[in-house]
Amino acid sequence: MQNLKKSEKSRGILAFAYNVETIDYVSIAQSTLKLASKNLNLPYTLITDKQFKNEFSNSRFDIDSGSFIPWRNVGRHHAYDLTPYDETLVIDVDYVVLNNDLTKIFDTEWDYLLQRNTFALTAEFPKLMGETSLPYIWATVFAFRKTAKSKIYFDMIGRIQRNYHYYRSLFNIQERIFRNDFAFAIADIVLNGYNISKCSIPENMLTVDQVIHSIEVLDKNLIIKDSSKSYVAPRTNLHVMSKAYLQSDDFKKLVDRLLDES
Amino acid sequence: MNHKEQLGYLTVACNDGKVDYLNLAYVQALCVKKTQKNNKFAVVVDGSTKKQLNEKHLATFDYVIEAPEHPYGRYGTEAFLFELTPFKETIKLESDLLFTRSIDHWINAFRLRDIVLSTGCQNYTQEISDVRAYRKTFDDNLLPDVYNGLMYFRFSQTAKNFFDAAKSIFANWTTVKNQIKNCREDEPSTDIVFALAAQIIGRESCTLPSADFINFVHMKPAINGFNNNLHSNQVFVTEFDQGMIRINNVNQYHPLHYYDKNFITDEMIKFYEQ
Repeated sequence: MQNLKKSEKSRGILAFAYNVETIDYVSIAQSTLKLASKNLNLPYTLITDKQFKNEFSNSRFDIDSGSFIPWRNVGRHHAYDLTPYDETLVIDVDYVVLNNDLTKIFDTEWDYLLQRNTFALTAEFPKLMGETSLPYIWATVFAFRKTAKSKIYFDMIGRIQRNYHYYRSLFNIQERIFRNDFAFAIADIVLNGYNISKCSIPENMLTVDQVIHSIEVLDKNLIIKDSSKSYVAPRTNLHVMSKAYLQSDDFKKLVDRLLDES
Repeated sequence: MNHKEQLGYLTVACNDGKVDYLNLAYVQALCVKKTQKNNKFAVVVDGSTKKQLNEKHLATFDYVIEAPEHPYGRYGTEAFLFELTPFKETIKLESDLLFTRSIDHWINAFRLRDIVLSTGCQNYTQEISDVRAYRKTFDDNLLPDVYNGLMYFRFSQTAKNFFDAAKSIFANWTTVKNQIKNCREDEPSTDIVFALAAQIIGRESCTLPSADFINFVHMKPAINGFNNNLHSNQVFVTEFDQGMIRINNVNQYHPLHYYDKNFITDEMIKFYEQ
């Protein structure tokens, strides 16, 4: 465990964005990172590749098109080596930071901190990686410090990624596709001495799991509208699964407005 | 009463042709010797099981006690343990239960009562189970959620009353079962008899609700989220790592009631015998 009192540490936000044919993740990242940076008062770094690579490395179900699309989600474990910060908050580009709650996690001591709980507007996510497996975490948002334990943790994630079929079988994981959520959970269980840790980013993450038309951000509330309903929620950070919305002009306008807010 | 030791572990091993309970008790005795400081071990056997004792068994068990003949069914021997135990203080275990670490410090909690029945159980992820699939009779009759898999009793009037009540229930099961709402047991199980006995003597005198760690991991299917037709080794990877038992990648720090009678491997026996 790092001694937080020793010296002032550099601190910042890190995100990964690898474009695929149908989704411009870099463009989404430009919006969400600016917003996160403003709300958390932290600098940010985006990790991407110079050229768009048309490789098919993984796939995920896309709620906007209702089909499976390419997904370049591997390599998240490189965050440890690539981050320019001593203390790093890593967010997915579809994680919309709308308050400053996450700044408070840096007041406590940990080597790495994961998001264990989420809830969604319309669906109930399974809690386990498979019917007879263990709980998974949400790699959508996590934080780490540059410590020996964190280094082992990320190396372990890399090993799981490279040997995913073995770990999938060992942990009774149902899905065939590689998910960071699973790799992060497995590495965490192993590193905790084969125990399930309960240490988590305190706030439950709200996932907007459906195709949406708009998000309205008020002082203390959010109004999220899909094709048939409006949902009112407290002003909390959002994991928005609809990439179509995140690429829309509506979202860009929302971000611009929030950036202009004093 | 002829007590020979202050404190020790006791189990019942009566082979029934299908399960070699004596072997399970042998592995348990080895495990207790390996993991506990207070590690005297006594086994209660019936006449036919006694004939199957070999040199290894005799070298490992500190006490071998022959159970009396009785008409109380398969599990009736359990009601006689108060008289049979060679210990003033007895930690009674079911034979298919193992430790991966010491529970010596539990004894301080045990001594808060004359008799302590473990309450509730945990699943393999080491969480208190809220599954009631095997406890419907208990819930229907508002019985205490006690398990006889791990219990403590000392030479005392309370313990005597408890075991006397248990004997009476075993002896009068035909009558008792008709008084129990939705009774599903033609032959009384020790769990239901001890729960009734606890109710009779007063659950407050034989349970420790505030010590919610006095229980064990129960590997029955529904408690652990898998199909009733399967054994845990068909569902989970089980590893034995120098005395630590890991089920589905979770270390079992709590006492483990493995339930599947084929759980013990040669590797385990070899390790414990070292």
